[in-house]
Amino acid sequence: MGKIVSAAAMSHTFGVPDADPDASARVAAGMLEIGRRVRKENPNILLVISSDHLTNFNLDFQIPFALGTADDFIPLGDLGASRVKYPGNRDFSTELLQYAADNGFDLVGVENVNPDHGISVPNEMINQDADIALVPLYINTVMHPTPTCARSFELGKVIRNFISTRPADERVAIIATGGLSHWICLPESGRVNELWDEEIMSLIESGRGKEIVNWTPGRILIEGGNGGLEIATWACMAGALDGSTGERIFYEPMHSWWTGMGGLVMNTKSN
Amino acid sequence: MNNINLKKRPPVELHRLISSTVRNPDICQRLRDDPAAVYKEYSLPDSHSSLLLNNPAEALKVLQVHANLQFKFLAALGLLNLKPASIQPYLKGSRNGKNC
Repeated sequence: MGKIVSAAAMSHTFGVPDADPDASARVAAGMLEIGRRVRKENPNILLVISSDHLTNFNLDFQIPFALGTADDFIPLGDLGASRVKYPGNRDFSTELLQYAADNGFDLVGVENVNPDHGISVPNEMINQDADIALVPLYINTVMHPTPTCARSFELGKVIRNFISTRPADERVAIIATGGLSHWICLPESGRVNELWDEEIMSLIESGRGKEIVNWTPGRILIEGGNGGLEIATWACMAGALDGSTGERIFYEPMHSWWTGMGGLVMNTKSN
Repeated sequence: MNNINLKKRPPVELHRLISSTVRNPDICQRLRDDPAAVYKEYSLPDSHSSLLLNNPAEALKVLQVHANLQFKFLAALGLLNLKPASIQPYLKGSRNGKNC
C-alpha cells in the first residue's frame, strides 16, 4: 500500500521584507525548514492543497474542488515562483478522481493550470529541484458558498483511504497551504488575529485537528477574515492525518503583509 | 465573501475584465492609458465606468467587486498598498539539495 510519509501545513504568501526584515527572514527560514523535513522522508508525490486566487479559475465557472491531472505543471510565476516544469503524476491523480467519485466527492479534473502562489510558493520551498511529482488539489475558498472545513476534513479522509490502496512504492507528502488570519481588500486589511491563529495551529499540533470542522465559514469570516477561509486546506490535511500530532515550525504576525504566517509539520510516524 | 451582498447582481462585466488582466499584461497597460476604452470593450454599464473613472478604489467597494479581484485591479492600476514581492532571494543557496 502507498504511504503518507510526510505532511505539513503552511501559509503560502510572501511580502517585501522592508517593514520587518528579521521576521521576514524567519518566515522564509521556517518555510525552508518545512521543505527540508518533507524532503527528508523521500516523497515521490507532493499533494499540495490550496485555493486558486482567481488566476486559473474565475467567477464565471466556480468549482468547489478540483484536482490537477496533467503530466506537468508550470507555475504562473507570481511572487517570483520559478516558471519551470514540475512533473505531475497522471496515474495517481486520475485514480484519485475516480476513487473520490466513488466515495462521495466529485472532484473536477483540471488539465491546463498554471499554479499560482498558493501551490507554487510552498512547492518551491520543498521541491526546489523539481524532482518530486506535483499534484495540486484545489479547494475553492474564494467562491460562495465556499467548501466548509467539515467537508474538506472528510475529503482528507477519502485521500488517506485512497493512498492506502496505492502501490507500495508511492510515498506521498500532503501539504496544506494558506491562512492564517487575513482580510483581503477590506477595511480590516492589515489586521492579524493572533489568538485565532494560535487556536488553529494548536488544534493541529495537539492532534485535535478534527475540531477545525467546528469553524464554519461564517465564524471564520469574523475571526480569521476572508483569507482565513483558506484553513479549509488545513482541515483537509488534518482529515488525512486524523489523530496525528504536529510540531510548530514558525509563526509570525506579519501585519505589513496583511496576514498571520504560520507553518507546522505532522508526526506521520505515529499515523 | 463578507463584503458581498448576495442578493445584488455582481459586477460580472468588471469581474471578467479583471480576470483577463491575469494573463494579459497588455490590458493592464491599456487600463492605465485609456481606461474608458477598456471599460467599453468589456461592456461595463456606464454607471460602473463612471464610478471607476472617478475613483477606482472607492468604486470597487461600491460595486462590491470580489475581494481577490479588487486586489488584482488595484495592482493593475498601480494603486495597491502592498509592494510586489519575490521568494527568490530566500531560495539562493538552498537549491540542488544544499538545504536538504
